Amino acid sequence: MNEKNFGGTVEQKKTDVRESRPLEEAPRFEGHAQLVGLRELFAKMSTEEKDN
Amino acid sequence: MSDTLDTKIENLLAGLPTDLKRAVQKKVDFYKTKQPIFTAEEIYREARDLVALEMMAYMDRRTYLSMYNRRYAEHQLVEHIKEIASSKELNDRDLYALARIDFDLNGLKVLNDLGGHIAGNKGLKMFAEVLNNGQTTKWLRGFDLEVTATAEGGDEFGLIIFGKLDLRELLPEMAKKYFDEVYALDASGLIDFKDAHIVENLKMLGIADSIPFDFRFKISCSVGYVLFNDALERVPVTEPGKSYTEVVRMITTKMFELSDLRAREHKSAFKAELGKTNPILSGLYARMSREVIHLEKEIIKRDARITELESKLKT
Repeated sequence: MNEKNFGGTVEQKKTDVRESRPLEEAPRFEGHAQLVGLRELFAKMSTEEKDN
Repeated sequence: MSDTLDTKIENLLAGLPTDLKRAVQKKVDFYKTKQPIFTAEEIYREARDLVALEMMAYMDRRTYLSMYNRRYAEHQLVEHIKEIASSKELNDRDLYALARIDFDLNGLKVLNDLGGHIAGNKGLKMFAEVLNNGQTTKWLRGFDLEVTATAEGGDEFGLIIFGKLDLRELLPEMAKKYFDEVYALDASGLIDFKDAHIVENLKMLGIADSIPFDFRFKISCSVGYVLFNDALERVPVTEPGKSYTEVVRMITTKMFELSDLRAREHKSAFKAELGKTNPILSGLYARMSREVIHLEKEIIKRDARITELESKLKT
């Protein structure tokens, strides 16, 4: 699969996600932006949640 | 005294699953309020026994394999993702620093059906030893990588690999090394093709004549691997309303799904190749199953009965 077929911003790509598509062919988000998003979600959690 | 107990408990809990740590720590805190009724030594022993008991929930039931189970694999993934998400520096290398490997052991069905469960268990143990402490696992650990091997039911196994290294180049080489190491194992002693019972079963399948008595049986494995990034880029991390816990659950699920899918793809490709390079082994892998043997026996019985009834009718 050619990842270059899925250009555009993360916001645009988000609308492309179709869970019903075969796993390997599903459109993808860009890794760096995803990592930033994940870290932000973690940072938002309370200390108690983080310990759990 | 209390400091010593705290240090001992800290050492005891190091590296254990978070939920287990929390449960044990809660018990310890309770017992500490009851000092001096309970001595520090008694509290430590209580905690140690509790850890031993609770860790059973993270071990595969087949104790002879000495392996963690799927639940522990899930826990490990969650812990490593947490380490990545909470690290002080944002580093894109982390996208490629965590991997999940899926293994399917080929040949277990043949071992169980022809050699019985003793042969099957020996085959499983041989394979588990490769994952636990074989050459390829040692090779991985040589890169200062944390390698956790898991048994996940039947002929399915897994690995979690985590460290500071970009694993992109390493994984294809790793997959080949594991495959070669397993295929090179001497599994010929697990099935005796001269054994009368085995010959009878092979006759039922109509393949007894095509297997030389000195045929050397082999086990093999199909391998599928996935990087943290492969799963992360398929999950809507920034979608409004999604919590960290939900997103991590989606990532780990995708890691299991993708590695499983890729192992199945490898299995199909390997079986097609095996048909050309070792047709006898390929035939055994493809045809051998308890159900097939049972059906063949039933058909033979039924044919004999029909012949018997037909001859009675004629007379």
